[in-house]
Amino acid sequence: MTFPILDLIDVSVRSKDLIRLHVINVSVEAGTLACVIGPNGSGKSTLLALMAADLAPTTGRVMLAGQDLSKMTIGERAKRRAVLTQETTVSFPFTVRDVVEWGRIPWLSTTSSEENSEIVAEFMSKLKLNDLASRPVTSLSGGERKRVHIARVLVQKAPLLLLDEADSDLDLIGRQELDHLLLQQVKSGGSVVVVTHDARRIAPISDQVILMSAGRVHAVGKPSEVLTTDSLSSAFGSPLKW
Amino acid sequence: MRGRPAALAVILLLMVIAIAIGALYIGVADTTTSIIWNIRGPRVVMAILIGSGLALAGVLMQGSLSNPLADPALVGVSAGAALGGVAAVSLGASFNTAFSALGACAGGAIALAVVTSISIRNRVPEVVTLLLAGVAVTAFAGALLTVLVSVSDSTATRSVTFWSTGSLSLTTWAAVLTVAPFVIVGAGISATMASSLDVLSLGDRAANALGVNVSAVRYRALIAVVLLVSVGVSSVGVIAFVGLLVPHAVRMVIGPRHGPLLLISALAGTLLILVTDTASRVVANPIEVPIGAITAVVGAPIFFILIRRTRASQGGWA
Repeated sequence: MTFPILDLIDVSVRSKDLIRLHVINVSVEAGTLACVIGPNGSGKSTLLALMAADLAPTTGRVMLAGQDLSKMTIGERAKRRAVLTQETTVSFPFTVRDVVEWGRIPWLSTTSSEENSEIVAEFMSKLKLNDLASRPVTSLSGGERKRVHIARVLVQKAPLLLLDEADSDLDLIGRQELDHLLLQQVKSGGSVVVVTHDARRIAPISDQVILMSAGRVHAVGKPSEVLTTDSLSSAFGSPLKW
Repeated sequence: MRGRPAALAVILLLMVIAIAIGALYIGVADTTTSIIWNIRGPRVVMAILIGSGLALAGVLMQGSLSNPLADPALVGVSAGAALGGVAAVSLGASFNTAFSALGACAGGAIALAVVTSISIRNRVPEVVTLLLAGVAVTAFAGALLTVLVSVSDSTATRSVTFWSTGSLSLTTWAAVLTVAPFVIVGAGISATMASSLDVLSLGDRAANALGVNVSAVRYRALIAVVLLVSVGVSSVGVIAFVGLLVPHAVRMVIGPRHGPLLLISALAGTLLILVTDTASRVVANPIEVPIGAITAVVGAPIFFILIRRTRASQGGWA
């Protein structure tokens, strides 16, 4: 039996006179991977920010596992969803290990420090960060820094992962490994929403595709239904062969 | 924290030297006790309050605004506090009283509110905007202060130069007792914020996703900055660059974690003010050089280096 981990009900976003997101209804089933695609400025990141509660909807409600996201405390939200933003800069030269360990902050009061270190060690090695552990994160390349943040988000052990262009900056192997980690996440009952420009790569592992265009949901459904030459061309406003 | 006893020992030694050295070198005479108790004593304690206050404020501003170039004097807090203090005195208060202290806090808080609200856009604090807003606020507050000092008899005991370059020479025990509670409360607040400040270096959205209430942390840090800086400024004037230099130097040695950074910066700031205040008394003996002039001579070139480094790590500022 499935249930929606995320339910966006009659949600819209408006800032001053600008409509960033028209009224939409989107639902993501628990234990699935949903990918959000669309042209630049189509509202993908706005949609993700709503799901993360980084942004409050102007109208409508965002439900996380049946509970209104806006009524949860910041601490409750941190235990239920992890967010990878596009911003990977860290202001001061903290070490890679420091940054990954911050992912455990929501659990510090409820989990033993041994368990926290085990989880950190597990994902440090999954993301191949052991050799970089004591390097300042400010000295890393873009791809390395991205891996640090992915590890930080995964050690948060939230049932819902929201990833905004997690694959940008990663090389081909990095992307393959990321996909593998996301699939593991889904297999173990977690839910994942990814915003990406690499639809061809992510489509085969997605359960649902949300195609955005001009602040609206242009199409939503199984990859085979949404990713067609016709719907992509009309969403991107330009002939696009699939 | 192996360095802690050593650092404390160095500070104690410097306190003794600072008490002994001055425009009038203390020999063994009847007047010695009176000079130590009434002039040098309060001055040394004030140096500790000012040095630790400015350094802690620098750490808090840099951490809470994700801005490696923040300093209370550069972003206008000190100028606002000086103006607030002088305004209170021209309204009839005396220097180093509760009323002048509150005036200074109000001035510092208004200046800080203006520059931070301008520089945070879409929940992202902008490094350059903060400094530019600081230039404008400093100029504006400085101009009003000059007008007030020129037209008001009650503020005439302290010149415009005193306010712009700072001096510990007028320090009395009354001044120490006025400044101390504010610095102590400010230091107490900053001691509770180390781990939140660490996570804030990820940026607002990522910190929020980890359960850190970013605006509450920032609000608390900036209140502490006002307490740590304002009343000190209304007592000894504006001493620039201490809040910028000390955290950077300490970060280079012990790393960026805010727990140790706050503690060691407070000690290093104390050291710096003790040393520069002593230097200000002896370099041109018997004339005293304003302490703010010494910190600026050292601080400005280092600020220049930091600008270049920050620019390199953040890309150009077109």
